[in-house]
Amino acid sequence: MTTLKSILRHLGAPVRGEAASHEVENELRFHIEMRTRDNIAAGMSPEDAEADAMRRFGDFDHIHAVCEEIRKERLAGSMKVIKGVVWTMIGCGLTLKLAADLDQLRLVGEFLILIAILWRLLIYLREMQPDQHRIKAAEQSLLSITGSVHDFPSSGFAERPISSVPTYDKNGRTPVERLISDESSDNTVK
Amino acid sequence: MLILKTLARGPLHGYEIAQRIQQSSEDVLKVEEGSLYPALYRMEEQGWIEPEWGASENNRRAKYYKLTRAGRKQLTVETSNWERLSEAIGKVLQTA
Repeated sequence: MTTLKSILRHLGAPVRGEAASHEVENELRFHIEMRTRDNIAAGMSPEDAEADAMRRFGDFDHIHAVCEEIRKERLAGSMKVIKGVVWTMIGCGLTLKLAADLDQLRLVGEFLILIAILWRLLIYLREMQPDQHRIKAAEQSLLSITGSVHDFPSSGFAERPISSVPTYDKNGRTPVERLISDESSDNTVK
Repeated sequence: MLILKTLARGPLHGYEIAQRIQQSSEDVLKVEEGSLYPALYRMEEQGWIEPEWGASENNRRAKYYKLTRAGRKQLTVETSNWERLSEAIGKVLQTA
């Protein structure tokens, strides 16, 4: 039963992509809210309780991004499996349609092809949708929980400068490659 | 291993897992609570745990994790590995 449920969830993952993305954020927010509630029950003021919950949780945006990345990796794996299943269904359907002697079997073949095409179309439409959910999440960010990051300077969110790291430098090196080569050149000088 | 062991008693949501680990270790193991979630997602990917949305004690929608059969097997493997390792370290400390 567990295995069947897991397979069904695996196969249905690409179709429910947006909902799953919201689930990550909801789960993380739930944790902070629970900690805040317990802190208040322990006698903290609501502001201190939230700030403490945030501090204990760590970097919300980073953790959210890591979880999203893992979810997307899993989704990509599911997509590969689904594409394989769809092509197998089309192959079986065509074989039945062209080679079967019985009308019923040919009908089964047509049915398989139809289901495979509809399924693939549904997933294709999902893939075509822009990542609206991510824009929504970014708009809400953490501010809807905390009011403003500036209210909680101790959390570190307010002080952290937002800077973008260029993916490639003029020599075509990635940030990690730059870091490694910079470190090795430092060692050479020493 | 700690997460698997905590879930061996029954399904829990992330916050409960963090609390149980901290309580069971008598506040010795205090990790950044958020770092639990990437670990949970990886374990879910491995098929060791399985999520299910349900209602929490305060009637909020929460994601509960439960151990799968593969997870129980993994827990046995990791526990025996840990026992062997701690036994080996103990022996070295005794002789040194």
